[in-house]
Amino acid sequence: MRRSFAILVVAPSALMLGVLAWFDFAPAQKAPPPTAAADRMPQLLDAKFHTSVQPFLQAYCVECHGGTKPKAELDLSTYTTVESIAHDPRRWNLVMERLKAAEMPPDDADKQPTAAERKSVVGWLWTMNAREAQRHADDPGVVLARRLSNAEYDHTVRDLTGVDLRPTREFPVDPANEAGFDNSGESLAMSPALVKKYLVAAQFVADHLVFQPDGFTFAPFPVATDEDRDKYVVKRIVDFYGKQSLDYADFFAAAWRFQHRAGLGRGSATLEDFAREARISPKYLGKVWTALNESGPEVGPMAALQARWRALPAPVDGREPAAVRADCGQLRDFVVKLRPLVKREFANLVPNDNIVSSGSQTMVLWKDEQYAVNRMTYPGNALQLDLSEFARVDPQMKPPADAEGRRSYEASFQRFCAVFPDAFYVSERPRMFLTNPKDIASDLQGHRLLTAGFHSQMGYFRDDAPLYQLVLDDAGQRELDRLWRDLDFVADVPFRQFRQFIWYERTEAKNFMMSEEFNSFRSEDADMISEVKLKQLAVAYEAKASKQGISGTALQAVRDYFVNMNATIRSLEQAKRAAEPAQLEALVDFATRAYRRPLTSAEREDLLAFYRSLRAQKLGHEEALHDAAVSVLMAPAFSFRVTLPNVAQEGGAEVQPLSDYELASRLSYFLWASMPDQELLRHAAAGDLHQPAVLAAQARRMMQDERIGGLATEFGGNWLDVRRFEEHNAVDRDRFPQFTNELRTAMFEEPMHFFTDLVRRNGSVLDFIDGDYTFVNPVLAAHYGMPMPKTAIGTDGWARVDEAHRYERGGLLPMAVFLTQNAPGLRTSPVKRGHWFVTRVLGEHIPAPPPNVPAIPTDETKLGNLTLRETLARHREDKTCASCHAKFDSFGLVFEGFGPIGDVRTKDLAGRPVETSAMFPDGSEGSGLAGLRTYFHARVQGEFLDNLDRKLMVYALGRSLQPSDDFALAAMQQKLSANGYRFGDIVESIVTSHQFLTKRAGRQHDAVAAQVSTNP
Amino acid sequence: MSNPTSGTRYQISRRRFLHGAGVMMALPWLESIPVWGAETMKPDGMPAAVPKRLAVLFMANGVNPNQWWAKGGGTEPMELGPSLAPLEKVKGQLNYISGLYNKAATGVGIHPGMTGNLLSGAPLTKGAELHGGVSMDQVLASRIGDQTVQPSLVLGCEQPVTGYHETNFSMAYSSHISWENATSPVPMEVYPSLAFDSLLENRGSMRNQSVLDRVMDQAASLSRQVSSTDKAKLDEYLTSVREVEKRAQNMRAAKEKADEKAKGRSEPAFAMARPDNGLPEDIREHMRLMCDILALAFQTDKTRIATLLLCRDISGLFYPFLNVKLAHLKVGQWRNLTEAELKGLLPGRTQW
Repeated sequence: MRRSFAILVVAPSALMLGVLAWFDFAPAQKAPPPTAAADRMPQLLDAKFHTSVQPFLQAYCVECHGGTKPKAELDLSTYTTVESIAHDPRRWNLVMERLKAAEMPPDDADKQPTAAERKSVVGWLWTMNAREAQRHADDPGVVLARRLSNAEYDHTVRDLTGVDLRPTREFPVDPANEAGFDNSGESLAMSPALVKKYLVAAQFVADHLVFQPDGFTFAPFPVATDEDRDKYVVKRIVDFYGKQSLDYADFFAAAWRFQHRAGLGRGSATLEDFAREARISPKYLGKVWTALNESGPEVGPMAALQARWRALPAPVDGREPAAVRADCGQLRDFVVKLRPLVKREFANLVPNDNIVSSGSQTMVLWKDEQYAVNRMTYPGNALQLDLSEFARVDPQMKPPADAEGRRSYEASFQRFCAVFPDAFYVSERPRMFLTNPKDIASDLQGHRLLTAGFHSQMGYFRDDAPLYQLVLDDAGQRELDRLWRDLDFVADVPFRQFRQFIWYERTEAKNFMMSEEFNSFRSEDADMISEVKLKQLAVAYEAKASKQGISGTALQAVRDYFVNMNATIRSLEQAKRAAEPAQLEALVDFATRAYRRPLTSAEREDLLAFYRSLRAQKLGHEEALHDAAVSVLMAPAFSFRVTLPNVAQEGGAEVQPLSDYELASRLSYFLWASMPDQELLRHAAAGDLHQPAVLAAQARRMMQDERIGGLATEFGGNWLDVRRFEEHNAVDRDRFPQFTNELRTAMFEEPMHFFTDLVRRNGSVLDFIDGDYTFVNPVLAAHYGMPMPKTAIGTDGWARVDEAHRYERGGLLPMAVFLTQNAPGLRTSPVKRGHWFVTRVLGEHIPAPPPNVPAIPTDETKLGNLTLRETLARHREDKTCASCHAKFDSFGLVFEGFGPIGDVRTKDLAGRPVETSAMFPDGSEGSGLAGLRTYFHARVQGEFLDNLDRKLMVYALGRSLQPSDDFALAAMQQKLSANGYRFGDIVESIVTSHQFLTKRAGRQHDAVAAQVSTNP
Repeated sequence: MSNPTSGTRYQISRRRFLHGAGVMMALPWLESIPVWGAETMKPDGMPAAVPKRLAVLFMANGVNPNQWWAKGGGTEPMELGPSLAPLEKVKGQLNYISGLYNKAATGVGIHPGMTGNLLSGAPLTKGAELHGGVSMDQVLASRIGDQTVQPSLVLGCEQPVTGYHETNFSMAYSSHISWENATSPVPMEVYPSLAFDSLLENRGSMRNQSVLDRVMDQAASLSRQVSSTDKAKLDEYLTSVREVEKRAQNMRAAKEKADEKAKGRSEPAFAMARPDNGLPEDIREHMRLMCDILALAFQTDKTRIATLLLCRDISGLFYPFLNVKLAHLKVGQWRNLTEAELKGLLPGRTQW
């Protein structure tokens, strides 16, 4: 059933009454200026109103739609002027539709208008619509200031902090506007209760702050204690180590490819190219390459390695033989087996039962240091080893008899140790003073990450020189340095480590510091880490150690400990002091990104003054900064979307262009439901975002970005009314135990994947109906009875299934989420499913059912002798029911082949065979999805496209549509059908439209806007 | 450090500061005052019933069962062992419970494995990732904590340590008894002066106040700039914020009025001066101050849930006043001590 839409006609003369437009004209992009003829329009409309329209209403309408109890609450008697009708376009569009379709007056009315009378009134309404559209063609409409919706808030926090914190988890659900979207000021409001929740949410976000030397960042969990901070900084370093590709086999294989690049047809490729492809360090590959090819001794491990290397097969038919991979693995095994035998080991400086405990920080740190600087050195023990096993396979491993030969042999070992470290890094240690292997093994089960290996005390030790020097490039080195520097800074490591040293020495470590001269040194004293106190302790400690016979290296280790601790503590204190101004700058930067525009200098000063006032209230630096960050997240500049009248144009035009920053936000909240990114803001700063080429290019970039998922859930989810499906609880899980939470989530995500995929590849929107494919993960695939596709499974476990018709799927309509959402739980509901199709997918308006309609049993098994279909046949028999139900029942009946949770079925729950045929509103018959698709293309494709255009436009603009939007819509339709119905074209039309690029300056507006803003 | 002075409109004339001042609080019990979040208010002038409170004090090292015991029950009068002698006066209001059992603390070695789940009963995870369970005081705090200014009070007399114990459990488990969830301990206040300030100044609500003040200023300023239709929306925000502030203010005013009334009615029974900054030299002083603050918090109904870690379970504290020269930990390992050392020990220590 068609719904007409107003289109401005080019020739003004066509506006003359008497010309009725049942046909479409090619519309202009912009309204042409009114001509002399059109200027007489108001009088003409007025005249016709009094001669034709008013009498018509009196004669045929007002008897029911008037008086004290107007039918359907539509009182037409109050419209006594042309203006009153002009200001209520939505209701009068409905009236026009009903009249055109001859649905009103109803068949059983006393009087019926003649065809001519009907035509006259409809024509008048149409013309009036067109004129209103023309009058307000420049109108961007009233887009009310509004708070961020919950989803927008969550996404914005995600992009602002880098962590998906979801602070609105416990917020009340946002109400939707008439079109069904919750991103509009028409429905979003504020209240004291919500303000309190906003405050809690802002504090929640700020509780994740981690303070760094040069600013701050956000952790994935709240950071309140030292334990939280330890967790954060240690994990980052361990993750960094874990990301490194350090399998020698990969390097040997890449080296082989470089060696044989000509034979592989890659003559011009460089060593770096092969490193990049294998995702390994080009720097280390270079070193491995050199080591494999340099000339050197004919004996020893390097010689053995080179011999194996030379023996690797050549390419066959221009390709890498399978044996290469295996052989490179054996090369690696050779290295990995041999290296530990020539690892340098170190004994405790002092035996375990000595005066100074071997578990003391002084001793352990010395030992850690020895290992750390010797990972690439050769301990000189090769000639003492029994390497006969190796020699059996690699003759070069046999130690020569003569002195010269043995020198070369050891030189080869030296080179071997230097190229292949005994470890690239150490990420966990046992207590370093243990000698019993069982104790060591037990400690290792604790995975004591990055620990220095003290007894009971905290402390970390960095041992990654081989990784740093051999493998990492400049950027990698900088990052790793930064992570270790952060560890000390963020978790206050040196302060805590030193205090725990004192605690340990006083209580555990052979009671070394139990004697009286140490009474003034207590770990809990604030000044214990001062330079004065620290040096006093150093003197006392060294004195006692020396007196007890500690000398040489051990005594030096003691001295070094105090010197290093002092230096580290002083430098950390200095860094903390220097950090404060940097962190305040970071606060200003945070506010800039949060407000989505540069701060004025007044705003900047105000923010810093607020921080200072909090300091004046005796809050510490970090507490004050925390609260300042909370205030940024509570500011209307963050949590509201507002456009301001352009300052320069005060008293000027009513319609102004959006500022570039306002446009950047409008774009990002449209396509991502989140804040603009750096690239958009750069264009805003450069002032070129308004240029059509830049706009279009940005829109295209944004549609490719993964953040387009925000459009899928916020637009797609609300358009199709499944936004809250993940909370759907109407399914009886006893009868349908397969409906688990995982299946429910998978059902929800299916249309989201479909949507995102379509947008990213700029597909045809008709795929929503026609597409012979869908997306599944293993849970959903099992539900659909289809095998999981073998290829192209994404990292999230989802894959595209083509030829989905084999399983009765394809496109949106047979997706389980819609079929389930629109079923009452124990039976299907053709009424609900059909209603959903007609109102959501096609955008038709169906009035609410009358009260006192008897309910159908909720359980299919309890319907008695009648099938559901037969029960619903009543809808056709009763005329008042039929007037609405005839429009949509059929679209639900064709889905009877799917059960209450969208499963394919041939029998209903009572065991009766299902029938999927139906008679559509135009009288034609069809069966199942195929029948529906046929009907769709024949009758309602235009409606679908129009509805999609309109819905996307409402969503993008953040307001309901008005007649003046029809120009843009008509142009959009035309472009869409001319170019393969691509989604990107709809988006491009919207973002380049006048409505999207302009705003009202905010002077007194007319009653139309007032009506728009007060509509529920 | 940045200069804390400012000449801006963020004047603090409205705020009360108790620095350098003490506080006098009156008994009997003050009527329950609703706080942040609660809507209902009890009528003025009628003391409400004393609410239930929970306090947990942890003292580590265990007790000597020969000295720490209670006998009797039912109609028989209660008899207390020597270590419990100081409680003689209040034994009529005492229940002595023995036989408590924490299964998750068995078979896990000594120290952290046994302390970290004292209040949760959850099995602890070894290694770098802390994981246990939320402690029962925090569960209670999440249920009833909104009835008071502060949901719970977590105090301590010894800073946490976080290395690894030989059993591979983190020493963090030895350092905290209150855990806000399975992976994070509740930050513990060790400085008496800061615990005092935070409680008496209603730190939490004052900080909210400052933020809301600023938000109102910004909303008012923006409201003046926007178009006429948008003004209504911004004003909606402004009035909502104002309403929230007003309610908090009403509650504070009601509380102050109640304090005044109570003062007039009866003798002040508890007075406390603000503790000095820093940590007390003498551990007795430290522990006493923390106990006083805990009592004050209950009497003024700032909170109804409190935990106090008197020392870690691997403690470095000394008790020279007991003629105990060895550290707390060493004393706990009393089986390793010589005869002479033992003579200097309990009952003095546990009694104190």
